[in-house]
Amino acid sequence: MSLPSMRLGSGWIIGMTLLAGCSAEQRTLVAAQPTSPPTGPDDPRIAAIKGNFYQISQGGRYFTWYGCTSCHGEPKTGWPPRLPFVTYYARIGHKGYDRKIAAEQRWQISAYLNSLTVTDAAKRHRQAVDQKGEPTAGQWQGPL
Amino acid sequence: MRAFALITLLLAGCAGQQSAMHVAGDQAATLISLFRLMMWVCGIAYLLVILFLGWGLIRRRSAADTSEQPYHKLMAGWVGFILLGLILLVVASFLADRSLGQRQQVPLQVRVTGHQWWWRIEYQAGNGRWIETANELHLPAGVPVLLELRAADVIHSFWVPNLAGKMDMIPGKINRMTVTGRTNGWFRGQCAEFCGTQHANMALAVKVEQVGEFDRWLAGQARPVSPGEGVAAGRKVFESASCAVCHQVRGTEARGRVGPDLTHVASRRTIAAGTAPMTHGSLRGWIIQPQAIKPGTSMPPSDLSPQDAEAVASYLETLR
Repeated sequence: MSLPSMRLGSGWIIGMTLLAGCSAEQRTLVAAQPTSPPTGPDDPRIAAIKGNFYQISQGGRYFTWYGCTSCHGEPKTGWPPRLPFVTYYARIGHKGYDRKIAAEQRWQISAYLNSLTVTDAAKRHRQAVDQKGEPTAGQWQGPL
Repeated sequence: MRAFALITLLLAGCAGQQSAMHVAGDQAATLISLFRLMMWVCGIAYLLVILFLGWGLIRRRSAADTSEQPYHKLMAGWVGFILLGLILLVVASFLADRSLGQRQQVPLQVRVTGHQWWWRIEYQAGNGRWIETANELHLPAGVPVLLELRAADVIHSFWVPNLAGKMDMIPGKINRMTVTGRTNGWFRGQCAEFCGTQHANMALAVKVEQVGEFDRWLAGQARPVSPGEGVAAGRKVFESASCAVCHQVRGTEARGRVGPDLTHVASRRTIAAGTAPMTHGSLRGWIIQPQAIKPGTSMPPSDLSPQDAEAVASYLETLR
């Protein structure tokens, strides 16, 4: 193999590897989103949503939008505690929120909470900064 | 011939509502005159090139002729034309840009915030208050309006071609532009920066109207919903179910700030930023399963019973 073609080849491999990362952000755009709670710790949907960056970040937005921070504050080290996915899902339904938060969003928020237990403080801070621009965050200057 | 007629007919459909060629405001007029000048300069240059090419082909030399025929004067003329043309374009573009960027004292300030995938619109009402609406921008004819463009999540772009050029809306930054509507009527704006899956369904209805009519409209938008207004059953469901978590209906218990303000939702022409017409059916469908109408939208499906959804739709329809 000559040098230029090797370069081309390795470039191709790097490109493909990078593109493979995109599958972690796959999003489902149909009306048929999860409508039922997880059937148990082995529900295959749990592994799928835990590894999906799009679903996790949507969970972060809904976490702010549903006002979770007004009682729980911003996520910080040690909060949320590391719990099984099904427990997150169940606890989001506290205080009548099971009637206010649709199943799809409970899945996403559970995935977000799960991700917080494995992200470091720096990344959590970046996520918090990202959400500052969202309308319900503290810096919103619109009418109240 | 038939295809030509068909294409002409189809293109005629583009006329009016969303077109930079149908000028309805001062800023668009500046841009269209710049565009016309560019068309003339480039058109003449193109025509000359084609003419000289044709001339050269007709007067080609025989293979035996090796003499140089200088065209110094012609070349100098050509270079002069290009220089003048380019200078003209640069100066015109500079002047147009300067007039567009001029900040003047304006009587009206409007804040437009891009969200995935809708527009939050707030009118300055004096004493620090803002009157909020969504997806529909009304402008008084002949009055310069300062638009303060923001974004809540990702980069969007504000573009109402009949009124002015594009301007990006960037998170954490405020971009300002002045628009002055001249021609009364409805125009269509569109997000002009790809912002996610429903970028195409992020339309903005713009109405330029007489000052008096505009003042009446704004006064109507400023009015909160009075107690007892609207279908009582629907109002109760709206406030107790998840709707009120994200939506605001001023004057009621619904105080959510995430989604569009719904205080006078039924006065708008469409729902979900131009996705569906404002009808009872679309409202009801949207309430039950928005993901079926605008897949990817941040509005979650509701688990309301058909009766409750019907009641909420009837309630929203009364909010004019």
